[in-house]
Amino acid sequence: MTDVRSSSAGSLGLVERVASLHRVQMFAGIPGRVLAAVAEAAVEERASQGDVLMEEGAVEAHLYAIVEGRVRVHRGDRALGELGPGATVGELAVLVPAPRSASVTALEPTLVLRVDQPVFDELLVEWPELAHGVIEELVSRLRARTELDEQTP
Amino acid sequence: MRGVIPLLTAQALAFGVMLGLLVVPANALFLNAYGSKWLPATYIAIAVFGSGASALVAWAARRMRLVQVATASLAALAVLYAVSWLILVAGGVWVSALLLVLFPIALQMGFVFIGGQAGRLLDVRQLKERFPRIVTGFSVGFLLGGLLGIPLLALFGSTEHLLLATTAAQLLFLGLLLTTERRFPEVRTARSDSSPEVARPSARLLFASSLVLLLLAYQVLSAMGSQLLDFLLFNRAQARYTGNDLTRFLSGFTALLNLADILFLALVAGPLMRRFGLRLGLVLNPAVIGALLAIMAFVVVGPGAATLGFFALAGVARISDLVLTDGTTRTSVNASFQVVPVRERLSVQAVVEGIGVPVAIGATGAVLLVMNVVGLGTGAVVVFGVLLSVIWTLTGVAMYRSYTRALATEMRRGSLVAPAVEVGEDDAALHALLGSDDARDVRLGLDLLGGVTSTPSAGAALRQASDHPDPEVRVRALVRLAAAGDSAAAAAAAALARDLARSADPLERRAAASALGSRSVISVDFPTLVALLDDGDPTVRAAALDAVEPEDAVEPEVVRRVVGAVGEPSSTGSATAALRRLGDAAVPLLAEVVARDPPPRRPRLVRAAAHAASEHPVVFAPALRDPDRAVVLAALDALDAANGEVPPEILDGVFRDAAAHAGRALAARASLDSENASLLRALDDEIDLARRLVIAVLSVRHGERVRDAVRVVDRADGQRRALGVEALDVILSREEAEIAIPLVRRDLTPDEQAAALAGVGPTARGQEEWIADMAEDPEDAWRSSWLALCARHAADS
Repeated sequence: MTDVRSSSAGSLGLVERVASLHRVQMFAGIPGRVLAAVAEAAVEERASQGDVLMEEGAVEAHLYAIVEGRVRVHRGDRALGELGPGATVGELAVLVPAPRSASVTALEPTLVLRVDQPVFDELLVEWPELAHGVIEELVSRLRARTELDEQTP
Repeated sequence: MRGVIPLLTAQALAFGVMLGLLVVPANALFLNAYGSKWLPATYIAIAVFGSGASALVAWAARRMRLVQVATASLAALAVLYAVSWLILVAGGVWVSALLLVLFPIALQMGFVFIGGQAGRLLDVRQLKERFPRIVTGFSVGFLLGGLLGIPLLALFGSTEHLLLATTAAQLLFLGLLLTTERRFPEVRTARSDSSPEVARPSARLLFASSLVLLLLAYQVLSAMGSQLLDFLLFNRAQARYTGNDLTRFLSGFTALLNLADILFLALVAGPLMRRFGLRLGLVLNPAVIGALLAIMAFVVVGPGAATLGFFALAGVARISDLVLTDGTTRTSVNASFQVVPVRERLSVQAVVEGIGVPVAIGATGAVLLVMNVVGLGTGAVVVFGVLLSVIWTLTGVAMYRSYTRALATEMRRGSLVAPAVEVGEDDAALHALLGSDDARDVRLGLDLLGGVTSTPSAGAALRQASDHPDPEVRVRALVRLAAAGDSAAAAAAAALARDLARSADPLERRAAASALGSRSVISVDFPTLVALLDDGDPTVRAAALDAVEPEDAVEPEVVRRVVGAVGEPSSTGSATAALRRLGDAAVPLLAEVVARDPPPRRPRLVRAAAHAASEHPVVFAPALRDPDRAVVLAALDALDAANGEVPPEILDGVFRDAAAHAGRALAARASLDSENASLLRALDDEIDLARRLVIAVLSVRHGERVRDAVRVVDRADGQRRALGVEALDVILSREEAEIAIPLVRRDLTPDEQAAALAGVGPTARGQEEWIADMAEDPEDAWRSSWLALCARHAADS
């Protein structure tokens, strides 16, 4: 994976981090006081244009919440979609660690928050309603991918 | 829906004018021709013809739309008035008896149609607040109709010609109804289903509902009471006045009656219903009438029925009955109908109001005739009225209870109810699962098998499964056989479990752990369980926690590990269930951990503890007084789920604190600029926390029906959401409802919520003052480090 600068302290304050996570649909319903623990444990990562945030086949157990910038989701050269602020990538791995199903590359300077599986597990126990958000996110992702597959000859 | 209330009020006005112009000529012509002694006979005729007319309306309602039924009925009545005029002009005075009989039928029909439209266009809350205003239109119309009689008589020169004005007013009523239909097509689309595919409930099924039966009984008793009071007044008036004096008295009394009705409806009925709702609305009328009749009974025994005092009491009772019937009874009955499914509502309403009321009037006529024949005097009529009022009051109380139960049932409608699943021991599908090569199928088969192992076929399937390649399937099948008394299988299961527990493969260790839950049938040493509870793999630990049994409560090593596992996200569920099995043995350690652990983990521990401890106060007394409201909420929710008891003074304290917190957060929110997004969001979270606390307190106080109603308020809209709010209004006390309902209703804006909770909120402050207050929290009121952080962030930026 290309060098991506990580920082748990980071440039964002805790309030900005929580605000960024609140912009993510999956976390939107979680109270700030609960999400603050996640935001505190999340790791800020900055990627330049062309940096690979996630590599297909890599076994990892974290998700990324995109704070700034845009990323491309792809399998090899085949683009599966583009995502921007408020989107997440890698939800499957944070639920069940397994080889990544696609790669994610920054299209422009991008700031993401990395949420690791133990933190996510804590949040799921603390706020079970999060499961609804995860399901919604996965369903919409699955739908988008199915539509893409149907369009591709 | 702008314009609904004016249009319905205008219909009621035209309807009232029409009835005023019907009752004056009908009474005048009948009394002149036949005298008052035949009045009870007309009551019986009303019963016969009224029931027939109502049955006709109900029959039509099942086949046609509301507006079609109303149009046909109102047009038919207009024709009848016009034809009656022609007959009277031709000298047929007998038709005045028919008009007298038509009066109550037209009265009931009109209210069925106006109430039916209101039921479709307004929700239950709006009905409670605004239906009295619509009824005011009727009273004003009735007053106008009565007053118009005098100048119209001077204009036409003869009483029978007043029926021309009656016909015109009836046509105006019809025209307004059709205008309402055009402007609000909801009235048009709402119809009783007549399609052959959809079976309509039979009358027997409809009236199997206790609420519908009580509605019928209540309205019958109400009509009997009104008729009795009417008769008492006419009876006494006739004894005191004759000729023109009687006519003048009746005109004056009718004007007074309607004026009192208008004033009551305009000034008292709405606030009274809002303040006390149906619980008062259904019993006020019979209770007041009962009390007045009781006083009249004492007067009869004392000074006698011929006195002015008795006559005055009869007048007061008649006026009280009319104002309360229009102001509280009719509104309460219409609101009660909202819990009857919409498909059946018109049919039931037509039968209850249409057949029940005429039958009641007829029964009153029969009783009065019998009393007359037997020679009983006015005193007997009064005593009969007292008895009737007592039964009527009790019916009102029972109806209110039935209404609250029906509301609760309506709130639960649509919630998921797990059906009981029973698997037969000779179920072919079960054996197919047990015989499958796929380990997942066999595990499912073992789960479904339950305690069934005694039959030869089940035993054979289990022996086959005990050779399965999957270790978990193998060991579970052996345990099942051991449970059925197979000692060889018990020994084999114990040996296999010990071997698997030492395996390097987590899957095999997990299989061993799952076998330990059956230590009553297989012998496995205790250190094996402790080792598996300490396993490095979380799935093995979870399986070992699942194997913890009540008997393990005597082992401090197990209890310590179970309590420790509650804090681990991957094993919280299994640890909580294990705690439940360990019971009170875990309480001392739990109490210690709850008090010691850092805030983020406390709610989770508190939730788990509720399932474990029957001695809840030991663990929860500190949690319920915790400064962190999230911990208090977790404790309340957990105790509610575990049916634990909470001291009332603690509940009162939490409720007051949550209400004040909501009021404070809403007031602060109202002062903030929109650019303080994070602080606004943090305040919204605090308002939501206060809301959850209020719901939790009310759920502990009043039971699960509070959460059922809140669920409906949250997820439904329109009529159904209003029913949810109504259910809360019925369940909660006035003080609780004033706080809880604005907080629960998500359809209100924060400004509307703030206005509703202004009484419990602090005085208004400026934005900067609020931000400083939240950041510093000098009074320890906010008690939220996150809110303070957001406030400091807002202050800095």
